[in-house]
Amino acid sequence: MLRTREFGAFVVLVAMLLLCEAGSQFYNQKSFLGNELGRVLKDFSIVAIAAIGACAVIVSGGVDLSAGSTMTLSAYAMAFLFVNKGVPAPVALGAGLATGTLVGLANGLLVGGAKLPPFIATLGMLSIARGLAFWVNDGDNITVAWRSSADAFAGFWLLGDYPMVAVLVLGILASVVMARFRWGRYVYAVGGNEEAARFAGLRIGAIKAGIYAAAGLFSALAGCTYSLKYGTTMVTMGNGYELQIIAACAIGGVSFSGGQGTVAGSVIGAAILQTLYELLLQLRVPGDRIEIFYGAAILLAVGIDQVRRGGLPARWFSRSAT
Amino acid sequence: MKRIPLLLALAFGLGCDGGGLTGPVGEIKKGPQKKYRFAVVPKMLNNKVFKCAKISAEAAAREIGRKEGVEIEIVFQGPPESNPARQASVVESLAGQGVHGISVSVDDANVLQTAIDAATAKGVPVITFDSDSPASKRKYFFGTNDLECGERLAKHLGKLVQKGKVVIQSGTTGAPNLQMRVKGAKDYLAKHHPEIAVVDVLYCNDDVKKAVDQIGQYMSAHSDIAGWILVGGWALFGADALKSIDPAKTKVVSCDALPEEWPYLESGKCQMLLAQDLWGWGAQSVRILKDLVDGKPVEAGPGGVINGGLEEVTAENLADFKKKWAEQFPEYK
Repeated sequence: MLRTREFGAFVVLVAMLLLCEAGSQFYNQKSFLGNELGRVLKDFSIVAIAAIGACAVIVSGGVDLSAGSTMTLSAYAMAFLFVNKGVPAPVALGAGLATGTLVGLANGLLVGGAKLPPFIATLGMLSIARGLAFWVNDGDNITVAWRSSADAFAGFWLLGDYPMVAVLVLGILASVVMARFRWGRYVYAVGGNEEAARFAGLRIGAIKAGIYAAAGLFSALAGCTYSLKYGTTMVTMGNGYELQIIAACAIGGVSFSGGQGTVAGSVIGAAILQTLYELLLQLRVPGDRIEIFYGAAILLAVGIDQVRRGGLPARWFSRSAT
Repeated sequence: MKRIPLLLALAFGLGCDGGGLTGPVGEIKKGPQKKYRFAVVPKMLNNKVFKCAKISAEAAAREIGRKEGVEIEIVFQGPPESNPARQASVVESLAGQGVHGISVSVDDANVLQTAIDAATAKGVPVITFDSDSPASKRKYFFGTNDLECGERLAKHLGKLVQKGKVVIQSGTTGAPNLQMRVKGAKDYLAKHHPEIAVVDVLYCNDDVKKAVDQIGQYMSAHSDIAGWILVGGWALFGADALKSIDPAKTKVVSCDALPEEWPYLESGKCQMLLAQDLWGWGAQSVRILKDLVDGKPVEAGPGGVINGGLEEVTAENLADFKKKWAEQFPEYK
């Protein structure tokens, strides 16, 4: 267990949180963990929820570039029905999640059925979903003031106010499905060796359709969480999230070659991304240089994990004969 | 675990090197002090108008510091590109660090409201500049009267274009300040120039390349456009943005008057640039925040709004404007 990628990522996350605490104590004489941890947990939840679904896609050897746009379109579907049409909160939320699932299913059919490369299929869907989101409300924002309504509160409170609970519950459920259920084993089989899986009798197209549909559902959950957390829906809200989601999975040890990676790793990866930005703010790195340090620190974190696991950098410095 | 001390040393090294630190600030205190730490949070770092806000905030900090014998540190921090959620994180993090005050150009009023209110609850006064979040607990807003900005752009274009089709180019659909500029321009033309029709509003998502491409593509498909109103100067930050425009047939007016936009006035491709009070974004932010912390009164209009001025820059007065710019923003490149 100590040599798993997830454990390495977890060690990096704990080290970063300790650095945040040390930085805050040094500069501000305040406890970071005592005062700010709750906010950081809330802030990382959006990427973490979407990363749970993206993990299955990447483990299967694919990629989903439409995740950010799916987030936006799903949030618009929910907000439009709830605010503009007066649909009850649970129904509106369900419609938002169904929208994302349909977008994901369309991706899955393009990849699994029409055999399009995932990069191309989801790139096309990125644009379609973004355009549809604009079309829903002519590009205007929709304010989702759900906290003032008792009925809406019952339907939205978990995602809106306690998204980290949703991350925990969904993360555990998805981990169990991936590790213990037949469907999870199929995902690893398809990503590990698709030809072998096909010869073993697996219906690859149907499995991929299911994987992308699930990813669409989790992207939709992330989009609705964003909309409820911040009380607004806007056409640019998901821009750039697809890369953050993929980066979270990569940092958490999900292999882009397919067949390797876990949900827990992806969630930890999302937490690392958020904590890293927080750390750079705590250490007072200037705004115009923060992206440089952000990128360098991601490479450093992954590099430390590689060294710890005896990966490539360790071999570079190894004196053993080749 | 052996590497953690090394990481700690490295990280503190980065912070101390990059931050220009002067030591711990400590708990927020009210009333006049010897040392202040104010944060200026732009919508995004990749828009040059916010570079002007940084320059003027730092200049004002030096000026006030010299006159009043105090030390003022400016923290200029924000997302590299439009990302309201990240901007909200930055505001909350800075409040948690105990800065004495925050001035923020709001990317999305709803998203930032929670962060502004949370910072205020921690005892950190927050004001807004450029773009407001009026429903939040911010104390004041300094910026352009955006309705007037749109009206002035339309008024100038109306003098140049007697009739025909006009296109408006805006940034992001949700930005409330841009929505007001578009509304101001549309309403003015509808009221005073009914023979001019606004046929389209294009959104470039604050992207220079997209803004440039939009104009070229639109003119290629619609050669009968009589005028363009750019409610932000995105396209004119790019080179050759108006090559598809024939000034004899199509007139262009734009908000903002940064050095990158001046050649379009000189070449006659653009007829008027409407300069916002970019100096005030930074300098007034520092002045207002210091007065707030010191407990001094701040003069403002209803709703805590303080309007910055607008200045029309044309080929005729460009030389004078350049001279003033060089004095205000000598560091601008």
